[in-house]
Amino acid sequence: MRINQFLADMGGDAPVSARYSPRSDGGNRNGYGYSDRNGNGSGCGQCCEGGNGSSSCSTTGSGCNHDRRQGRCERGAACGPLPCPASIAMAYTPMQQPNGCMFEPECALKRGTLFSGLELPLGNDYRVGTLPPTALSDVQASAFAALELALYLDTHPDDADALQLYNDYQRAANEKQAEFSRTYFPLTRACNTNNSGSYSWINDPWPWQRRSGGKENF
Amino acid sequence: MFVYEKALQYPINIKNPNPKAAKYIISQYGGPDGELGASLRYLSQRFSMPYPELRSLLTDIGTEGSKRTLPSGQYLKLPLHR
Repeated sequence: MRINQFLADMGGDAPVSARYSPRSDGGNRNGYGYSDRNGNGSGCGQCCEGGNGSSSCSTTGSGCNHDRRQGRCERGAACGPLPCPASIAMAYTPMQQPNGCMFEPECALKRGTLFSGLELPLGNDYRVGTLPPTALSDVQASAFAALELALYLDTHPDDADALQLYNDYQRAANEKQAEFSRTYFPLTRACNTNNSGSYSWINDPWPWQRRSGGKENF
Repeated sequence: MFVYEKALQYPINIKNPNPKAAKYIISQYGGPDGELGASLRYLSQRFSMPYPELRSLLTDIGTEGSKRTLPSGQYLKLPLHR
């Protein structure tokens, strides 16, 4: 576990013993093996497997069995979506692991993210948006998927699978954009073909305009 | 440097023009907490960033920020457009 290695390098012990693997039963949304907001899921109990067993230790009067160093904790302890023996009152940013599942580009654009683990809607409102079936929304979905992977690759540049996927998505997005520009109107100044004899970049529609009658709304 | 793409990132179809919404949106434009200032800060801080992954991350975040700022103006127009 990278965080344990980091902490060991810093000269400390390795308190974090969470399992960062997706649950095989698909039990939890983000696939990281944490408990979800309601305390369900793998949560504290799973991550503490293989701890020190039942060595005695002094606990508080409430009988709390949450001992960071021993790697023990009980389900229902206030772990939230963090690794089980996490210290309270410390800020954590878990690194995004490469093992969450990804949405299809169109679905990703509707949900707002490519990565299932990052789908954290405000107020737990998991309703998915709608996407009109226009030519432009196709381009937008492709471009969005490629962009999401690009952001992921910024911090995980050696992830070969993600890189392969990024190349595929970006190539598809480029093709879709080129095709759209040939058929409808140029999306960037450089894709301008100017075949009509005048500088078509200046033409409508610009993104803030509607087509007349609002029929096909780019 | 920057390439302007003549399309929104996500399709928008505003059915009911809403000046109150427009007023709220334009308030996000400037000032110390504005998106515009934030993207400029991201883009400027790249110049002293020693790590390539983070340089790239700051660039991408700054770019995304610009995408949010500039369309704010058009969301202004869209709610008012009939």
